[in-house]
Amino acid sequence: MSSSFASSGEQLSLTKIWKWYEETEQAIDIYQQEVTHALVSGKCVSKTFSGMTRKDINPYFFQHKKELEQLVSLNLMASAEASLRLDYLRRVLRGRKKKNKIDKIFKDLYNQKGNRANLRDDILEMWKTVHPE
Amino acid sequence: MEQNLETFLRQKKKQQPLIDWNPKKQKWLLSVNELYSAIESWLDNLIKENIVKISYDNLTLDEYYVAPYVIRQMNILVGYEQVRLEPKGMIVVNAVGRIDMIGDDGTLKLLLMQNDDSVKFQWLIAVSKEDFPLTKVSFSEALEQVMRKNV
Repeated sequence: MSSSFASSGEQLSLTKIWKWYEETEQAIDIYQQEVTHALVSGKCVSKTFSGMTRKDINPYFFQHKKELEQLVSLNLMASAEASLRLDYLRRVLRGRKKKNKIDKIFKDLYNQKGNRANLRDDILEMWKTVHPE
Repeated sequence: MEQNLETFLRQKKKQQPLIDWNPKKQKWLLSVNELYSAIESWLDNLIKENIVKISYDNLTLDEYYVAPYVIRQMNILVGYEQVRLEPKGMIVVNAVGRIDMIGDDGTLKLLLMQNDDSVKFQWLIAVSKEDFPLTKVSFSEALEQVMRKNV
């Protein structure tokens, strides 16, 4: 068993994901304003919108925002899962002499399941036993 | 507070471009009628033979920037199958009007475009990558596309 591990470092923090969501949502709002304004100004915009009326524009961008929200939700969940898994591995593999209760529980779990410990059924369940509140 | 509201609304009104939609609406209504006349002439023989029947319905369009107005929708009846030419409006993106050609097997957009010289107007059939000028031939292909493939 290796006594240390290296993560790819590619996992995004929740803060970064949220910032990206806010910026992207703002960009969609600005684009929607530009396309809506083109109705009156006659300015040419992407062919995607050709022939759209005001009634078509709002649902189009509403749908985009909905898809963005779903994408961000998945990204947030993936980030949270990655954090919990990395924490699990760090606790098991860091080789610290003084281990607390959860470290010891995770060590036993690691001996049984290694990297294949299930997030919901194993890691989160163990956390619940230590912090039932 | 009241003064602020007044100032705000006065400025808002000033910022908005003054657009006289009336000439545009007249041109749009005329172009729609011209299109219907062209289609009737393309189908003339078939209408006389009773293969095709043409009827019209009145629609009221509410386009947000102008008061609601009445416009005709053309219905092309072939046996028991109908294709509707439903005007969607004159205030549309990248064009000066749109009619949807709606059949049992799909919908195509017809866009009224203003040429660069701003004098000539032309109907186009809009498809995803390219637009085609509306002619008797392209109209016939469009009809084939929106009508039922299997009877």
